[in-house]
Amino acid sequence: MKLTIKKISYGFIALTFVFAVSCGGSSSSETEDHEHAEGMEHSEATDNNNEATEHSHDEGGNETEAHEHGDATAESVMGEAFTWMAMEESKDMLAYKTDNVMMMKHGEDNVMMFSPKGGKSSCMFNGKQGNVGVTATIKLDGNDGEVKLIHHSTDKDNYEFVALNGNMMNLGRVENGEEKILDSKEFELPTDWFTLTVTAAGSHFKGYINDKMITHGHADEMAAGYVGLSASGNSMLSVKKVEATPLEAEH
Amino acid sequence: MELLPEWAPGIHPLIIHFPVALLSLAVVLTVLALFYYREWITKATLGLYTVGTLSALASYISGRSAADSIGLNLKAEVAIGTHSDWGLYTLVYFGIFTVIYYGVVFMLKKESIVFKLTLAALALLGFFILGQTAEHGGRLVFEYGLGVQK
Repeated sequence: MKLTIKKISYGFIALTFVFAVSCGGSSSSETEDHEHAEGMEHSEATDNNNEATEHSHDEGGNETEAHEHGDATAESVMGEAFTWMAMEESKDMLAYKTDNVMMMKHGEDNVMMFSPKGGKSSCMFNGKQGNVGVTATIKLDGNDGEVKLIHHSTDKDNYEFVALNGNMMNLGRVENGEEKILDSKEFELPTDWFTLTVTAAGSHFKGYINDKMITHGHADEMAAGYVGLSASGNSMLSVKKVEATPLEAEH
Repeated sequence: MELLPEWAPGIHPLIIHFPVALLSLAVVLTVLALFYYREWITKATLGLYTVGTLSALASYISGRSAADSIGLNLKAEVAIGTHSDWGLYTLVYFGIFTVIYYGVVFMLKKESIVFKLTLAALALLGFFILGQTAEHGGRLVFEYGLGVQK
């Protein structure tokens, strides 16, 4: 009996040891993750503007005219979390298709208007983002068209998006030109200003309207890429603000 | 009569402790069987793995529902995804392990020390995965304040 109790005690000691080792291992791997995230932010901050201008495309792959801004301030701002407000000077922060996109006054607000008129209009922000949350404050006049909030865009054939098409929200990605829908849900399209948010955290992708989750999909993590907006069809899209926030890794 | 207390944000925090307790105890008994073999212990262990895995399934489903209903929280977004991923690993791992345990102990009736050691090692690996899920879940509440009324 004495021997049995001794064996049981050894068993518990071994179990405690395994638990202690596993806890130690988890903290060190989390530290590495954090360091990796910090390293990624650094490389994003030093990214150059030339790459960003490659994204002044429309999604149909048509050649488009784009503004180029080799502005150092915009570069340093866009590599980190940013809030873009629709103002003339803030155009330096993005590359965009010149036709059908204009800056206007809407009441007291500065607003960027997309009027694709049956075609497509898009703009991309400088600075690559990895895990990111992007929120756009927008308003749609008419529901004959599609609005896409784009992220992880490395070129016109590779990006992820949340798209509003009438009362349908689609969460998906385009890889080598092929579109794949990760989740799709119906929702009630607000008639006034509202926020459209997309988050990409590892393999989890979510789409929100006014901070309420509508879609949730899963897929492999994509390489860091650019954030942007596109509109197609005949609806008029007004954009007041776009915020991109790098999502924190656990530390 | 409300089944859920008014202060509770959902069913997830109420049931999450069942898989943690049941599966941990099952792992302890699997290791104990290396030194102290009794048939009732193996039967109890199988029962604990079965009920523990079923409660892990309920926890995973309720957890997904809870994560989708909390609204936008950019600060905790990565942590929520990590906890959810570990929760899925726990469920799949213990689901497969329970079948293996039943097969080895009750169907094949393997009683050699090699099989017992292998089962104990696999159980301890499951314990590590369970621990990771619990740790990340705990951090969502105590570090990020999810499900806590302000």
